[in-house]
Amino acid sequence: MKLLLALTALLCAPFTTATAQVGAPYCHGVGCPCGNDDPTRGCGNHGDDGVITTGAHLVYAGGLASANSDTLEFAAYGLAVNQFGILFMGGGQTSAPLGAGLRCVVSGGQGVHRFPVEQADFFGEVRVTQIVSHSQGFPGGGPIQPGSSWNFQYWYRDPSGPCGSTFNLSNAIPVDFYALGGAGDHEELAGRPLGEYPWFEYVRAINEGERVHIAVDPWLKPGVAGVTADVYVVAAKDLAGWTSDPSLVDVRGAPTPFTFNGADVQGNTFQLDSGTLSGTFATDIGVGYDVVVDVDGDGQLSAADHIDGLGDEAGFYVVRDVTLPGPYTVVETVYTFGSMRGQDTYYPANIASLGELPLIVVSHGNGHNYQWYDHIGEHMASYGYVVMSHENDTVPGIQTASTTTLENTEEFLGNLAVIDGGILNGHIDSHNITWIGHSRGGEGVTRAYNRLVSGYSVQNYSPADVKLVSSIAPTTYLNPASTDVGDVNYHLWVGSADADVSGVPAQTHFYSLMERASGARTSITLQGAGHGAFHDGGGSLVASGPCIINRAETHQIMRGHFLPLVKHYIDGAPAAKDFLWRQWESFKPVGAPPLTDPCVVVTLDHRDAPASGRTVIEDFDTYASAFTSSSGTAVSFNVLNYSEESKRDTIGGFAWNATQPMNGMTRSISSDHHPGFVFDWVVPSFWEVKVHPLDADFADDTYLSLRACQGTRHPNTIAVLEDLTFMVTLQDGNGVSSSINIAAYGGGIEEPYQRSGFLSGAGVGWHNEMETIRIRISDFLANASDINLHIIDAVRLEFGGPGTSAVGRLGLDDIEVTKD
Amino acid sequence: MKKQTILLPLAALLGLTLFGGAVAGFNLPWIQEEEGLLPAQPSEAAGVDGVLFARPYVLGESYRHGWRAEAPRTASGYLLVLEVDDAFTVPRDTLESVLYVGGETAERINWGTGSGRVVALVPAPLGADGAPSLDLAEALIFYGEPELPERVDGERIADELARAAAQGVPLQRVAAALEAGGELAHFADRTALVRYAATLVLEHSPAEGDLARGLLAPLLR
Repeated sequence: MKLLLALTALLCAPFTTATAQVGAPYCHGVGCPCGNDDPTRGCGNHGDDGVITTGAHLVYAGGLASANSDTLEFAAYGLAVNQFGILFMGGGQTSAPLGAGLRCVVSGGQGVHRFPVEQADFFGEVRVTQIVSHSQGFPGGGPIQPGSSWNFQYWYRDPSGPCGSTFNLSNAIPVDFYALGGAGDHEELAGRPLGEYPWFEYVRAINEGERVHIAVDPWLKPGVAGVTADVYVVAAKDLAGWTSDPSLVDVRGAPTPFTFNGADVQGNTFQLDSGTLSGTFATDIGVGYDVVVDVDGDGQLSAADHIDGLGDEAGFYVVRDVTLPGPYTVVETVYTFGSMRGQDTYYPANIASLGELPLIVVSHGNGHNYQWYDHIGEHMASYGYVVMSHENDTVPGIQTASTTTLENTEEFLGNLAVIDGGILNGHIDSHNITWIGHSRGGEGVTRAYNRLVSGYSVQNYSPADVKLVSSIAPTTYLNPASTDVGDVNYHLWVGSADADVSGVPAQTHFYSLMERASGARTSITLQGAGHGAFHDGGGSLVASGPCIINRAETHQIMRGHFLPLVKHYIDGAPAAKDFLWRQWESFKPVGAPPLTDPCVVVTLDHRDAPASGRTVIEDFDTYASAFTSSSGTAVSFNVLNYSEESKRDTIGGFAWNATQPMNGMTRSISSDHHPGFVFDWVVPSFWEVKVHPLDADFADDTYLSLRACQGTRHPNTIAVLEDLTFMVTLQDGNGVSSSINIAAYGGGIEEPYQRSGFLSGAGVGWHNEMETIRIRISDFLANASDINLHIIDAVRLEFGGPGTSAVGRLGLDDIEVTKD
Repeated sequence: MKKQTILLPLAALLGLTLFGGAVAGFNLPWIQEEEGLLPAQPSEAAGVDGVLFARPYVLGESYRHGWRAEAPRTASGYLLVLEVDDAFTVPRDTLESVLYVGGETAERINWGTGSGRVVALVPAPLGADGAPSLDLAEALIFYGEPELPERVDGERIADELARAAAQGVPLQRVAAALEAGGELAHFADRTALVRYAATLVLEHSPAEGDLARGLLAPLLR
């Protein structure tokens, strides 16, 4: 029962988000009993200066909001010299006259508890320490526990004070104590070491065969500092599983003892597994594991322990080689229902025993063939999807192509009883449909979805059933309103060596389809991939540029990303998401071409749906001024040659031209308006956005996310032709800052594909490739940075400093914090 | 990844290839390559060199001709096999030249890749004699400007026709083609017509066998 209560207490905390901390002071001296207001402290007093317009100030003086570490300290100053006082705490907040001041703390159901009497010194100051340990003697719910929240205020004697009273009070401070006694509700342990600050990357997915590490920051988990403890890798359990069975059973046979006596993160980083953990099970792309530091050594998960993976999601996932076939044998069948109704369908041979399977519909491009997508059909069907690739009416145009997507989906779902003798009947999950289109078919699927939402009549499915729309090297013939996919999940493949849908004429500005999508969206850009590389019909790659990659390499990358893409959007598989945004240099499908192949360059651009709870700090969409953010806050910078406007290259070629600041941006056509910010630097420079006070609490968020691209053919880009890096800094309301070099996680902002010629003007370099950078917010806390995530004041990007690119030209967009 | 871009003449490239492997730590230049670039399409009306086969047809069930903006219903027309310029035989997803036959857009069943032979359907209303009322001997047959056929309307067709005439596009000799095509064919519907057209693709443009076989897949209804 005791364990159940402890776990229940732990489970009440939000385990999927970042860190709890000391909050912003409240209840300042406004509306004081006799006009003795001081809006920056407590109510005015006689205090140490005899001036009744200045009161006593309670401030956070250091340490961690940790129930284990007992390092939290407060200080009060502006008190009457040598007078006695008491720090007290309670669960609720109020603002009511009391003595010459305001009472700001009440029970809130947790009681009001007094700490030992303190005496102000000669300067009218006190410092209160050992708060957690003193609290352990409080009655009832008074002892401070991990995950609890309290409000603190200081009561003091002021014999000569105003209002005829002899006592007064300070302002108050709220504190959310870390759950689990450690740093952060998001109790991350597993990941991989880094070569520079923050020294460790806590990750969700680790490739099969790769080493697994754990790291403990002694400043954030002081309860572990100096401890020797067994560390377990346990088959993942959900909340109910841990509650019903808290026993620790290590999947490796035995736990590993580690002594956490390092002074910092890097000193407490250990290899947990050498790559023996399996990531292969059934059709899952990963196998989940939880990591437990058994601090009390009882072989059970208990309140003193640390766990990565207490919630529904595992602590980490070992992912299989997602380029390899899944467990099912695949059957392929080709048939037609008539003109423009030819279909090539792939399904698991044992489908009769598999229940209902999600449907993937493939719409080919112009001059392509519906039988040219075996690499998608066979791969996805081997993992338990049904893939139907159909004849597509692309030659007349996009409208006709979209009709064939709509009607073939309808025809397929309406005729399951006659395909291959009816074996699919009752085994298609028509509520989970993915549409994939190539080239004209890639634009066609966006048009089809737009028409479906606009009322196109079908009987066998609805707009809500289409969960993902994916375009491969799509054209952009139609006006923006006709291909707006709204808030459906959207995905885009781009080949930067494409010599057909090249990105140069406006009708091939494929990125505009993604920019228009308002839901979750992901793009994957392959440098060196041609237009024909995305199908398996043989023949020309239709490619131009250096380092062209062949069809087999392209397909390995496609297999390795399509599977996680669909697993993420259709099945909600947690292990899949890392494939959508992590730098290729740090995480890629095992069987994809190796990093040693310089010709394989993959850039990922991902943004979560608004409903995910992401908060936009600056996306340049709302205010035209470069000095005002989308959230209405101030923006400042000293970068050069800046411009904030729609990301649209209005001149046919990519040759650098100073009058065309958005050179290389192929992200807007016609009436599109998708602004971004471009600039350059040749000396150390910065760009900074203030955070709106309502958004200042980053403690509940998981990642700081932004996307950026290098400016093609710009002299600064050419000068340093490599991944571009810069520092990302958070600054809190106390002026404390913490900085991370994006290079720490591997890679950076990729240089444009070094392609010349073909309608593009003078110079070398193709379109600008946006790439997402995500930094775990709790990483900014590493090694006692002392930043307060509750009161983030600014996000600052610093360029040209040590360890980062000395010069550069950058496009910037979508600075936001995310929940996942 | 760090890159260097060098545009090298072929001779220099050959020398580099031969020499490069022997140089330790050599950083391979990022040489521009091309693999299957699309040929430019002429903008002048042209490209049809002859008519090899012409067969009138009538359908039991009409369908919409989606290769022009008005998408009119049609149940009759001509099935043609044309000899065309190689410049028009490479498929692309950027704009392709539109094929015109007289005052109508033609539906291309294939591209003529590898053969230079294109099978096309030309809608034509039935005349009083019960046959499609299109005089192929008097119809200009040509590729016009690149465009999506679904965006081509009657006005655009008239403009293209006038431009072709002004450019001196010649009339085709069709007597032999009509003889090769034979008498009026009757098909139940568009599906049957296209399946017949697919057999012509197999015969005249075997390199596009994938396309033809796809059209001839087992019919489930």
